Amino acid sequence: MKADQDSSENLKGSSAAVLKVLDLAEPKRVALIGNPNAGKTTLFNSLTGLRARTANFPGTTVDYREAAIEVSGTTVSLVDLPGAYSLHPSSPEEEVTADFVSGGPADLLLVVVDATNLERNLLLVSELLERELPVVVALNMIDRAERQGIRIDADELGRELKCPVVVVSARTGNGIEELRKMVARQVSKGCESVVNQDLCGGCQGCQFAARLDWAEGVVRRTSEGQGERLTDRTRAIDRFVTHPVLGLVLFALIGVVIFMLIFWFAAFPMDAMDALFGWAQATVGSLIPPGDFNGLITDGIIGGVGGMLIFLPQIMLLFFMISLLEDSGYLARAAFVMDRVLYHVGLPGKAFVPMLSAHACAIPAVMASKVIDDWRDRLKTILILPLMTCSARLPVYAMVVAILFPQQPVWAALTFAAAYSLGILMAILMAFLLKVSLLPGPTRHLVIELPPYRFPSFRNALFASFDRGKIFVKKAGTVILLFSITLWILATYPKTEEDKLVGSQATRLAQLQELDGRDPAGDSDLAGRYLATLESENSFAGRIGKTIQPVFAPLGFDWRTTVGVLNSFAAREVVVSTLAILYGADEDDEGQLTTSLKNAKDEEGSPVFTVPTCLSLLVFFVLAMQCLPTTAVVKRETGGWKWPLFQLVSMTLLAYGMAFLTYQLSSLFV
Amino acid sequence: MTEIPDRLSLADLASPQQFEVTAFDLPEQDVMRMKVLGICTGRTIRLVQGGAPMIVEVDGACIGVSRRLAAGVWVEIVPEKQDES
Repeated sequence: MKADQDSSENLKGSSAAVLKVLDLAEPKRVALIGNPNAGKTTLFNSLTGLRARTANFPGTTVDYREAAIEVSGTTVSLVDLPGAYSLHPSSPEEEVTADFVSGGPADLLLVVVDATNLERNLLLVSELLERELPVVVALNMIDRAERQGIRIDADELGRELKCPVVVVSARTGNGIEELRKMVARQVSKGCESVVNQDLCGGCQGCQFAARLDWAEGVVRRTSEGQGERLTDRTRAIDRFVTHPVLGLVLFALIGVVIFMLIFWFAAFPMDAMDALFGWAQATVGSLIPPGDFNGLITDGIIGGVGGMLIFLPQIMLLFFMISLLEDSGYLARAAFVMDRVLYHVGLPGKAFVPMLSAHACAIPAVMASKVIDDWRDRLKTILILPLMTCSARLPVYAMVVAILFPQQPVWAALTFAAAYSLGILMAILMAFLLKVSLLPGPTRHLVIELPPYRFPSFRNALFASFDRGKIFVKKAGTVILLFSITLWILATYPKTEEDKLVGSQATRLAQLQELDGRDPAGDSDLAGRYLATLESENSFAGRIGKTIQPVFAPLGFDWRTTVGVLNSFAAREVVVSTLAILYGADEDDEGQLTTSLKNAKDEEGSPVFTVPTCLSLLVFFVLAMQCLPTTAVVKRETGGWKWPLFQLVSMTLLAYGMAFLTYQLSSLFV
Repeated sequence: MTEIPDRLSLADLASPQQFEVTAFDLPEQDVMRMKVLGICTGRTIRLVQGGAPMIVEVDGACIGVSRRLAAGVWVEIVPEKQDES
C-alpha cells in the first residue's frame, strides 16, 4: 500500500484516458491551457457560461471541465485543463495536463497568458511551441497590464512566437469575440502545427534558465514597462499577511469567518432543505397507500437522499469561499503561513483548508483536499479529516453531555472542548503514524507562487460552488441511494405485526393502549413507541445488534446501544433517534430522552448509561468513521475503494480501542 | 572570530538582497519544482523576506520557499541591480 504506487496507478493510463476522452467527442477539441493564476478559469467561464460539465479524466481522480461552444458557426469542444507552469509535472493535475498535450487529443491549444507577467508565462508557451503543436495565444488581463503601464505589441509578439496572438480581458469580455473568431479560423483550417525555432538554444545546462532567457528577450522586443511588477503595496501587504505572528492572527480571523459561514450561516438553507424533505415525505406519504412501498419511498429514498443532500449548502459555501480566497491571492499566503505550523506534523500548509472545513463537515473538506499538490500529502490529509469534530457529531455529544452533566454548563462546555481536542490530537497522531508507516517519505517542501492581490471574481466563485455541488449530488447521491435502501430494508424487515404478538409483549402493548386511551388530550402514544421498539428489536438490524453485542460489551454498550452504533455507520446523528426508539423516548423532547436514557436498565436491572459508558460512547463517536456520504466522497477522490475501506476499518478500530481504554480505566475510578 | 562558510545557501540570507543560484543540493523533484518557477542557476533573483518560509522575487513574481528547501540552494550574492526600466 504505497502512495507512490497509488499515485502512479491513479495516473497511469492517463494518456490512454485522454485519448478515450477524445473518442467521445465529434467536434474539434480545443484545450485551454495556462499557468495557475493566468485567468484560465475566468476565460473558460466567459466562453462557455454555465454549459460546462465536470468529469474525471478516466482512470484518474483529476477533474476537468468541458463544454461545447459555437465559434463563428462552428461547434467546438472546449476542455479546461488543470493549470500548469510547465510540461514537467509536479502534481497529479499537472501530470494530466502534460499527458493531454503529449497524447495529442486536442486539435488546438488555446494558451492563456497573463499579460502582467508575460516573461514567466512564456516558459510554458515555449514548451508547447517546441513540440510543434497548434497554438493560439490569448493574451489575457490586458486591461490590468495597461493600468500598470505595460504596453505589449501583440502583432510583434505573434511574429516572435510564429503563432496567432489575441488580446483579451476575460474579466471584462473585451476581445472575446475576436478570440472566438480566431479559434474558429484556426480549427477550420486544420490547425497547422507551428514549425518553430530552436527556443532554448539547444538547452545546454538548465533548460528552464535558457527558456526564461529566451522569454526575457521576447518580452524586451515586444513590450514596454514589464520591469517593475511587484508593487510596494504588495510588499507592504505581504509583510503583514505573511508575518509569523500577525499572519497567523489574520489566518485565524479568516478561518473563524469561514467556519461561521459553513457552521452557522449554512444552517439556514440546511434547515430549509430539512423542512422541504420533511414536507416531501409527508406529501408523498399521503399520496401512497400505507405499507412497505410507502416506507421505502418516504423513509428509505426521500429520507436517505435528503439526509445526504442536506450537506449541499455547506459544500457550495465552502467552495464559494475557497474560490474567493484563491482569486484574491490570499489562499497561497495562508498556505505559506500555515506551512511552518503543519510541517511539523507531516502535513503541507495547504492542508489547512480541508482541516478547517472538516470541523463543519468532512464531505466538502475531502473535496477541498484537491488544493494539495502532492498526492501522498493529499491522501494523508483525506485519511485524517473525518477525525475532526463535524456538525453531525454534535447531537451525540449533546446527548451524552446532558446525561453526564445536567445543569452543569461549565463541565458540559469542558467536555465539548475535550471532544474537539481529542479529534484534533488523534488526527495529528494519525498523520504522523501514516507518515512513518503506510505513506512514508518526506512531506513536500513548500515552493509556491504568491500571486498578485486581486479583487476576486464572484462569478468564478459561483461557478466553482455550482460545479462542486453538481459533482457531490451526482456522484455521492448514487452510492447513498443504494446504501439508504439497504439500511431501510435492514431496519424494516422482518416486520413485527401487532396482532401476532404473544405473551408479555401482547400484555404490555394492551396496557399501554389502555393508558393512551385515558389521555384526555389524545396526544399520548405510548403503545406506538413500544411497538416501534419491538419492530426495531426484531428487525435484521436489531438481530445483528444483539448478535454482536458481546463485541461491544467491553465498551459498556448494551444491545440497544450496539444497534444505535451500527445504525449510525450510515450517519452519526442517527444514534440519537435509534436510542430514542429503542428506549421508548421522544427524540424531539431532549429532556425526556435524557431522562429515559439515564433511567434505562439492562436485563439485570443495572443502569445502562453509567459515567464510564457515557465517556466510552463519547470517545467512540469522536473517533469512529460513521458517515456513508464521506466514504462515498473519499472513494471518488481516491479513485477506488481501497483507501475509504482502510479509513473505515482503521478509524473504527481506533475508536474501539480508545473507547475500550476509556471504559476500563474510568470503571476503576467511578 | 566569525567563521565564513565555504558555501552560502539561500537559507543563510536574511535581509533583502540579490543573488544568483550556483547549484542545487536537493532531490530532483524539488529542483524541478523550483526551476519551473524560475529559481534556476544563473538567473538573478532577489530575496524579499527571510525567515521560514522565505519569499524571493523572480521575474517580478513572488515565490514562497520553505527554509528547509532553501538550505539546499547554493547561492552567490550579486550586487544590487539598478532599476533598468
